[in-house]
Amino acid sequence: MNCKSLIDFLTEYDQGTLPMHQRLMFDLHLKLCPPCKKFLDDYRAAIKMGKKCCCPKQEPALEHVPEEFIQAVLKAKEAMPIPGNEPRK
Amino acid sequence: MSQVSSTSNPMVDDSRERELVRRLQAGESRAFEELVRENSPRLLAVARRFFPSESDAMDALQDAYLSAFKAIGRFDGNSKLSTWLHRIVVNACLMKLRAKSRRPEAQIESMLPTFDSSGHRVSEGSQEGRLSETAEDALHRKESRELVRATIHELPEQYREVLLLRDIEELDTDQVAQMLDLTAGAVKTRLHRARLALKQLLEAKLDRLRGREVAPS
Repeated sequence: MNCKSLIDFLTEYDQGTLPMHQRLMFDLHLKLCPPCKKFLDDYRAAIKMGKKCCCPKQEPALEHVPEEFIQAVLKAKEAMPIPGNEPRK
Repeated sequence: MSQVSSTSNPMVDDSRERELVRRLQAGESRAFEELVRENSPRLLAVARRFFPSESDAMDALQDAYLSAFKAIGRFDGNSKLSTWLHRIVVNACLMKLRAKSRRPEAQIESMLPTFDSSGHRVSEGSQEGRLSETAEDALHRKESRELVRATIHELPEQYREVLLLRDIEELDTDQVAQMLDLTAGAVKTRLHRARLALKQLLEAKLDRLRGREVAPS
């Protein structure tokens, strides 16, 4: 196994879906190749950063929805051919 | 404004949701207003993850609501209303993304790691190998978090949409394949390449950010 084939199978390795013999070769390569071990750590860090930075708790404006937006949606709904479109007061 | 529900009792929540669905399907205007007011904060957050522009996110969410209003008569209660709405918002975001200009798939090649003819990685110098050491610190800083979100939006569309659906919205591979009309294998490949590109881009950008911070003024 070389560095390229290791990187090609990073997702399967992380998900534990690699066949046993490939996983053993993967583990061996990681022990012998510190740059690949570092690459794997950084790859995992990038995934974690993407997930955490986009999660709702990190979005300070989550609670704020402009009233104009809500009124625009309700107005657009009135123009639709669906039940309950009696004129709004 | 409260989030989805004012109670933490699941049985009360279920009963309240069934009643809301009944009123929606009966066409009660106040029910539509309740639906929009209660779900918009959470759903706008979903749309914001797909679009850096606030107006694009709001347009997509409005499109999603109109789709949901049209389809509410067919909602069968087999999933939670919030799950059903989430799926509709994600679909509306994907449609809007695709309506905007597409960048060719080949563009991601320049964002991926490179190898020599024997399959060994070509060193990327100072950009390499620092993300895992700095990730925790970066996650606590607003500027870094904004940079990560902006970097995701730099990924070519075909890769960005898979990364958003799998890693951020946490849909499974089969769901994403169905939504994007791809094979499961293609979803896995695109996700892997998107993650690799994200790693490469983040390393370069966070390095530059740190460089600016330590440079004398």
